[in-house]
Amino acid sequence: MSELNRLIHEPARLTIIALLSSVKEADFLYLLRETGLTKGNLSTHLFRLEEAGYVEIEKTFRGKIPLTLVRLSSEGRAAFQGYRKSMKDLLAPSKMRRVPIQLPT
Amino acid sequence: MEPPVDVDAVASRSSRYWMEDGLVEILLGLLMSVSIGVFWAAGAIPRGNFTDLVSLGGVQALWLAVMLSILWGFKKLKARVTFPRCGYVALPKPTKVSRISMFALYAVFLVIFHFTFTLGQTAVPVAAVIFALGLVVLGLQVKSARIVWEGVLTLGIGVYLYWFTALKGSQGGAVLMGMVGSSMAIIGALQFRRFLKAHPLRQETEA
Repeated sequence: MSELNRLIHEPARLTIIALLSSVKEADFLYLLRETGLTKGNLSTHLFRLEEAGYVEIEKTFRGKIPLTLVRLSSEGRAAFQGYRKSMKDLLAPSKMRRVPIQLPT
Repeated sequence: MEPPVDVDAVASRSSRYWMEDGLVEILLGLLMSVSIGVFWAAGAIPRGNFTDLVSLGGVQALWLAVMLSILWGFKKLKARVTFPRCGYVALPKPTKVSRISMFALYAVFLVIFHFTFTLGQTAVPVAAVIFALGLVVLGLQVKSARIVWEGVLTLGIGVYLYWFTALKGSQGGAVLMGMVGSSMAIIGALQFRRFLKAHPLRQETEA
């Protein structure tokens, strides 16, 4: 049975990665709005993902306003695809474990 | 074990996000109605040997300039109004396969559209069905009821022009395109107003 990537399996991080998987890049504000997380929470999750090399974070400015751009790295994309495959394998009916039920006699 | 998040639904949010502010509808509506306007105006210009704008390519150049200006305005509005309010998203560049399929779709659309104008009386309803189908498919793809209703409205405009007016052939098709474009631009503008009210300007202060 394939192992699930625990770092990605966490719902908030999975949402972040799923959002980033369909875009070239997105900013902090967009992720904040779409995930519904608080700023601190989102920062922490992004930091964890950056530490694992799954996302690339670029801090810049739009005029005088700070702008944090986030994009999925190639490692992150591969990890996400791997996670999806593992999940699919786990949920496939043929691979589900059948537990025999013992009825009381 | 259940997946903690519906990954496909989350991943499809970005394309829906692009349609949320109504700017795409304003863009499409303007492109359609302004195109008809420019070519209608060109038809109204009296022709002469040296002043034939159509043969000199003046109308085509004017049309291209107007289209590029509308696209430039769309990008500026997105950058100045939408992104500071709800965040910036860059959609990925289309892959080779998606470019080829998009090109094939355009080609099929153009062929159908060309035959539409040779149909004479049935040109308007056929063009209306093509436009309506395009809008309904787009609406279902981005899960936007508003765009699906725009498809229904397009069909309604087609029915109205066919049954209640004497417009036929290319003239009827042009009026249909102008009316559909204008209605899309108006609906987009109303949506844009609603979007601005619902999303006051926010700034990133902590990241």
